[in-house]
Amino acid sequence: MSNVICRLVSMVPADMPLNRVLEAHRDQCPRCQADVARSTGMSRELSAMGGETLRAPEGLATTVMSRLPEQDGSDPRRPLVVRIAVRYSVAAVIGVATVAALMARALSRRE
Amino acid sequence: MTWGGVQRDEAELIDAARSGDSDAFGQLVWRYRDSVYTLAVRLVGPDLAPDVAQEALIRAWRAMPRFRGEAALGTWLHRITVNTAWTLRKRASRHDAQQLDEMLIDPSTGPERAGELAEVRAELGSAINQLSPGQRAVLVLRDVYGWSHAEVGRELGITQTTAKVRLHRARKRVRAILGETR
Repeated sequence: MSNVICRLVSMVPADMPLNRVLEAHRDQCPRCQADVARSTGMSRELSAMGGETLRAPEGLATTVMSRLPEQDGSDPRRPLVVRIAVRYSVAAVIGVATVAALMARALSRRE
Repeated sequence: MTWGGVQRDEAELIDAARSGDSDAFGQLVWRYRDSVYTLAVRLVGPDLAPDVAQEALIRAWRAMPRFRGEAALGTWLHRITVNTAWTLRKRASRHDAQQLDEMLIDPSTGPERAGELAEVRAELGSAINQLSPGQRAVLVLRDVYGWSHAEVGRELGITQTTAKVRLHRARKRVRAILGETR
């Protein structure tokens, strides 16, 4: 039974609250305590990596500067495919609207 | 970094770069290239990282007129790097998992502690390399760089709940891998 509760405790993400039963179990279970300690240790090691900086390869800056295109103020976080799709979808919408308007006009003349 | 013998303020460089001054942008590239490259290495591994860093900085140049300074330039560049790495992840997945091991050594520590730390970081780096691209991105952004779940979700195009679940699975997987090696 304890094994099942340990597994339940481990299934809940660290930043989500545990219910009272699971919390009480975790606080007195050596296995869960060891698990929490391991998680804490790992989080500390990971966050320590955030303060480290690796040296960029020689020539990275030079390559970037030699390849600068025209500035266009495009959204850098929207992939190229999406940007192209949006551009064409706008053209497609305008095209469909034009065709629909022409058809509606033709129909109204026939009537 | 000097400019005609005078240190140029970052805000001044940003203003100039926004107006199309490539020399000013070059100085910003010089300042931020290591941090952009480091994030790229952690997201896609050292083999593809130079391409990601290069592409991210070029995208940043193109987008400079849009930069309004709501976030620090470093944060903005990191967001672009995440997006670039994410869009290139298919290319990244075609490469074999790259080893971070020898690169994750903190140069500020003494030699005896550095050896110990290097071993821990090597194991951790190797474990992170074994994660799926999605789990790896969430773990790196949240646990290494301290982003909020909301920021992680927004930049990766996933919900906060998905980010939390992915993070939980990533942490469990890393712990399981470390458990096998330690």
